[in-house]
Amino acid sequence: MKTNFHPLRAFTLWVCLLLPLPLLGAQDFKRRAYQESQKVSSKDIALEIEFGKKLAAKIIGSNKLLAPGPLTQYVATLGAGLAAYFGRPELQYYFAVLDQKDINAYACPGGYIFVTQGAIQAMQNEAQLLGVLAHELAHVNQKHVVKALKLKSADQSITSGFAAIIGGSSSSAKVILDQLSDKAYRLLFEEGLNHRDEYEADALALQMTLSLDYDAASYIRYLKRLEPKMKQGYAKVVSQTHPALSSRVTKLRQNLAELNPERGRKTNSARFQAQVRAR
Amino acid sequence: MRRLLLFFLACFIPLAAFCDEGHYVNLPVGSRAASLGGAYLAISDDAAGCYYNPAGLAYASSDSISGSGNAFLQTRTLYTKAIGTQDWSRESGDLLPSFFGMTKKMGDWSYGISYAVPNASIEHQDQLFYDPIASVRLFNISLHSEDITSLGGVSLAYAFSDSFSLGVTYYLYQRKLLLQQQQYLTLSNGDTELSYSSIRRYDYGYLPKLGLQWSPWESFVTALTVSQVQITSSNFVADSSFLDQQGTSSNQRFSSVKLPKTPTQVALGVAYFPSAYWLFALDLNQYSAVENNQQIVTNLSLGAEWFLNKENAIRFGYFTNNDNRDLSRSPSPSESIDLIGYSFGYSSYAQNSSINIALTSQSGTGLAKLYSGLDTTRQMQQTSLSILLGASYQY
Repeated sequence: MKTNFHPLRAFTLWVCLLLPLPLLGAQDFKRRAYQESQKVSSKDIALEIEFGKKLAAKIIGSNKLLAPGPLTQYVATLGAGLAAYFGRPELQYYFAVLDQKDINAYACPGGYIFVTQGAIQAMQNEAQLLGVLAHELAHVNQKHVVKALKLKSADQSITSGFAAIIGGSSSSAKVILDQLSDKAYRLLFEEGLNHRDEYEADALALQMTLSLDYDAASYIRYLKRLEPKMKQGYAKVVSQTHPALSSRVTKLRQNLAELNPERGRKTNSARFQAQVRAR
Repeated sequence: MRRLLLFFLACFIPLAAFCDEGHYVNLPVGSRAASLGGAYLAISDDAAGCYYNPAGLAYASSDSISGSGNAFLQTRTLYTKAIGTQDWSRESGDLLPSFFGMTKKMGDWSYGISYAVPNASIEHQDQLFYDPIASVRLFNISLHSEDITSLGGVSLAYAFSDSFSLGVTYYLYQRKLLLQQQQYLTLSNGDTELSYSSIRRYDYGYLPKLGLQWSPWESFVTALTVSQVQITSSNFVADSSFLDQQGTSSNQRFSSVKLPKTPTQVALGVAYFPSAYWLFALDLNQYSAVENNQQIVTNLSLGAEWFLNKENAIRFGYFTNNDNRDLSRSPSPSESIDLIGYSFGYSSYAQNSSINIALTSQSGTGLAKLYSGLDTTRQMQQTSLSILLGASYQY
């Protein structure tokens, strides 16, 4: 196929054809079949749970847990209810309160979820607490930390063995959990996850909240309420590790508008206030 | 007959006849890409993307290392009635260096390091022709040639959004061309003639490649790349010695540091991902003409990937490998042969790794002007088969 077609014309044609077209969605459609099989490896799940346990222990070691009482029981019960509907069936979820004034919540792989007492104090109702717990549950469900750390179990298959021989790789692929849990700790407390992951967790939290007939707008109002507290220095970790609140609120409002829920959903303010005061 | 004798007495087949300067698709790079017939511009989401389209690295699903240790390439070129009334067949088969690369993601940025050998041939041949024409009892041709182009460098890609990315690869470029041949002629009256010639050529430079990928619709990706080899230094030396039947010898040396011109390559690609099990890709590669005897060449590549299940995939490809030489405007020796290629590949996937095998075959017919100063053409046929074994590891 020899032509007199000039390279510049080829470029112009390409731009003219495609420039007016809309830009669309993520690249998930590029996933190949073999990548789907990676999602359901039982070894990976076992590794995720083991890793999450180590990371949770590290968090508890550096941050005091709130002593057991009505508030911790309330958070655990609400979280367990949420996990019963939306949790991954292969995981056992744990919800705990950290005795910290700083406003934040953390999710470890394997289902270990923490919310600070400062965050709860900044809330007005149960819908807001549910939204925050749902946001953390979404991080676990979507394996955001697992993906960020590229946590994978060692592959013992024949194909992997051949690949190691041809590609010259060795056992270096084996995971060193201790080193990775340090990295995960930095991820949660200093560096933060990918902003796309945070937006995704927000969007999923909104859906979960609505599905349980709670007022999803409360979660957005909670984030709005954090803005002045952030300026006062009560949400250092959140500001360090999450996208700007204004941006999260804008995206959440767009998501909510698309879902267009009926108004008048439950907030359970009275029950929430009673539990918080009873701590 | 008198005319044919003159070929042997004065116009032994010159070395330039052994250099393939006309084709742009020689040794397939990357086993997955090779098995898709090279249609990889709009896919490019693993280490081979460094070579095909660095913008694709921005959408790699994970960090990876890919390697194709060596490729086996077998080529057979047949010139009809080239040595008197006899056909002349050139055959080569060797294990050649191929590709190694790695990619790593850092948020919206991705980078890669790779080494690729897009052009390589090693040929060694000794042939005897008895009584090719009435006045020649024996013609012996012995040659050795190595022509290897190596690229090594870094790539960087940035995802501006989920649907648009830009990438650049900066390769250092080296071409090494070594040719040696001896031709020995025994005439029917017992007189002999001998010729020896050699070429050494070393080109150094760099190859910048700019690429982009764009997904205007779900399941549909388009891509564009622009590249041109920039040669910064070149050293060419040709020696020839000739001993005629009277015992008179002549020696010549020609050397040059003139920088060879290189074509601009513009490539357009599209890929359609209807499901996780199917993939179709099409590339158009266009190369500009830089010499008077050259023409603009457009090559087409088509590829399809089918996952039989989550662990096994097969691929098919079709591609053209057209010759840039216009024989009517080329001084002899020269040749022009358009090739058509087919490819097939198989991959076995494990949790974090895969092994791949790719077979590509090319064939075609064309014309060759083999003898200096003469426009006489000979029919030629070429077939080649390459086998590429590769592996990739995702971490």
